[in-house]
Amino acid sequence: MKQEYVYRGFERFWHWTQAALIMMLGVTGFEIHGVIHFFGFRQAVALHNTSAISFLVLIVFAIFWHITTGEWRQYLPTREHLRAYMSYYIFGIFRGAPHPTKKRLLSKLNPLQKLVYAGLKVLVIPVMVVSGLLYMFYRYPQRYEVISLNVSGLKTIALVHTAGAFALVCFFVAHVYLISTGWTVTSNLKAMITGFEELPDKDNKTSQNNRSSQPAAMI
Amino acid sequence: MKRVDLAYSGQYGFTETQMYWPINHMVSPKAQAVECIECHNRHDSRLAGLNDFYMPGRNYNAGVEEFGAAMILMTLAGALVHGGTRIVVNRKRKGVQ
Repeated sequence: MKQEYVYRGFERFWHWTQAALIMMLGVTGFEIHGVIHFFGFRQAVALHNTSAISFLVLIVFAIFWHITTGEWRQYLPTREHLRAYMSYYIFGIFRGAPHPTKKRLLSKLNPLQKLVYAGLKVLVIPVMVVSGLLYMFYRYPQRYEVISLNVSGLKTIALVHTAGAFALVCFFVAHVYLISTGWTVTSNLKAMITGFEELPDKDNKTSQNNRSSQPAAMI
Repeated sequence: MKRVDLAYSGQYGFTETQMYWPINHMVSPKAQAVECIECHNRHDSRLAGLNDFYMPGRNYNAGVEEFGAAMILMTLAGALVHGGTRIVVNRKRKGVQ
């Protein structure tokens, strides 16, 4: 077994903390929404607010990390290998075909991941953060007579926040399923826990022969 | 008794009486306080009649709910079909080898 270092310490900390916070926000959020009953309304609101503030702090650190390390470039959408990956997930995966590229520290996201995560980072998360902050503080512009920031009601804010929540649930479901599509069923999960992705040796199996000889998508 | 012109035996006694003073301004005990969920719920909100504002837990948009639920179900179905196909196809391939 060969090991490839793909996820650094901060990345793994960020990923799992974010995962825990998003799951917490999901459960408490849908409880506030009246769909599930688990913590009780009062507790759900308190936990939702605390998780939201914690998430904001994490986001600040994550943005700082991505900028200072230049890792944000990993998320720049590209058409390179895009078709190859689409055909891999629609056909190749069923025939035991190799992944079109190899995951590396310098290029850990495939083109489909780049698209989805870029969408998440520039669209869904910002929409949730902004609508969430408005949800929390919408009364205060009025109170301090900042009329230009006046928000007359929660309706639009709440609907946008809810729609984003549904999108995140879909992401969560797909994300959890796609864990299983690595080199082995558990290799993606192991990589996100230990940082190291286990790869088969070059001559391990005939069907995986040319995997490591494929060039990785470099940015 | 003579003045109101009623008969009086001349005997008298005492009875127990109770008096209620609203010293807590009609506020219920802590145990009976109104819970958040009594208003913030979909089915029998105490404020069901006040319909000119959005209240979390009570209000929702049927369109957003249905579209959201449909998207979640489609994602789930997609994962199940994709994963199921992988399992079946893998078994067949192993059987062939």
